[in-house]
Amino acid sequence: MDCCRTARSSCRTRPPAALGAGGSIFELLEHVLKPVSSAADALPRPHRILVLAAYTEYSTQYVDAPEPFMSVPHALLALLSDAPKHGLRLQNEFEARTGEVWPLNVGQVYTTLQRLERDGLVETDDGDSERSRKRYRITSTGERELADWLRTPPDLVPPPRDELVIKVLVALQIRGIDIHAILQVHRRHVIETMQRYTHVKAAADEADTAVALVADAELFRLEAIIRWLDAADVRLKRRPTLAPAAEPDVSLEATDPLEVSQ
Amino acid sequence: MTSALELRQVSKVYGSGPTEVHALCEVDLSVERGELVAIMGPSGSGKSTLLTIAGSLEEATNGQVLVDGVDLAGISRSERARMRRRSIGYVFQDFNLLAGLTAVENVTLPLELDGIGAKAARATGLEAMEQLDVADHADRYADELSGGERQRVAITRAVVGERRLLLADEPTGALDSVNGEAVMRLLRGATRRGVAGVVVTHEAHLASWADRVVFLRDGHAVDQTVAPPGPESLLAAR
Repeated sequence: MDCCRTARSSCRTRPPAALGAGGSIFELLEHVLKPVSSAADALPRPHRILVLAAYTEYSTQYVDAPEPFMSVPHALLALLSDAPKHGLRLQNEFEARTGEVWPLNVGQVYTTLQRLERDGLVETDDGDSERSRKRYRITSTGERELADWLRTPPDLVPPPRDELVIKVLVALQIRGIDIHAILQVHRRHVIETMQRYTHVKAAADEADTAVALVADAELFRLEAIIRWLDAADVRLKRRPTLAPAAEPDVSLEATDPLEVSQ
Repeated sequence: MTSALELRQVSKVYGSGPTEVHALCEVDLSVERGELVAIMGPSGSGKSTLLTIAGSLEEATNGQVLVDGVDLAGISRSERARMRRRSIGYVFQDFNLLAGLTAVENVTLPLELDGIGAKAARATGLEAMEQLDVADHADRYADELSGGERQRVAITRAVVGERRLLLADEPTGALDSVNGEAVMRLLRGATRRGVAGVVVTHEAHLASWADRVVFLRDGHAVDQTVAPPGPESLLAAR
């Protein structure tokens, strides 16, 4: 068959995309943060886009977690591991060392230090003096806890109900649907999202390691979705007879060995 | 304005009869000066065929290929060869540098083949190497360079002189992701200086450096990105 005669080419001719907004990451953020709620306005400016933007519809295990990205107690232990410090200095160092991507208020610092002290992971010689005057240092128990935490693998097993997987499995039940076109819609959307993260990285100073690391984490997470879409494309192409539901009321569980749980 | 590269309804068929393979089917593609376009698609989707036809290394079965407005089918074989030498730069996965030559000699080779004197060619080559920040390696032999350095020299060779179209087939090869990103930054930088770039890659995080990503499937250009320019759209839908 002459594939050219059956071409479904939808490659539209469009003008080239304009170049990314110039200027510093701060200028980008000024622009970026405008549509965000007033709660976001209260946060410090730099690099916050990467935190806010992480809540994409393609996020999985990180979505809806109250403190999704960072263990503040362990970060404070790490900052205390080189020398004893006051709370305010810990706050400043925390924000500086994370490229100001993770804002942390001083109240959170003192609450966390109290818990660490209660658990014997830090200590202070300054007794009942005002909290801002106290200088904290890490204990040997705290050092062991920090070392253990750094080496403990995070939970990499997400709940088995990825929305995209469910969409594709549901699409397979619909008679006559072009599953490859469905996969392509998602592929394009993920790549467009990746382009935006890459723009953030490209606009930042190349020496800004914190921005690069956070952007890379999102880029590689999104790239894993692309790889899944690519694999799905090939698998479904090799299995063209994968049956849609024979009857309109047949449930998902009845048609495929893959179980879909909500 | 004339596009740096324009493919109009380009098809490529290998073999005939029952063994006929349609590698490309009526593909339309325009790339402007200053634009970097990435081509993605599964194995056998026609990515490399598209690149070799765009670079005049192979002829299309049907359709037109225009480089800087010049229809490649309308010029003589020797004129096509001159266009390949002067206007089109290629970057390959395995760099294709000549080991017996220094970095700058590799860069200036296409210029000298085109009849430019050695002294003038060296000056042009060094200028291009400085622009791409590889001038420090100018007098080192190709086999003394790391993988990342070799690819930077190869990219310099591809854009040296008056080249207006840069074609790269999986240019990050076996490089790690950070070195691969450095290659994409270079390609993007080269296009920002007015070259039109087309890069074939299967790695999404590298393709995301392009201004536009075109998706091939079974020889058809089925889709392309329409990413808005800034990162603000990351939050717009919230």
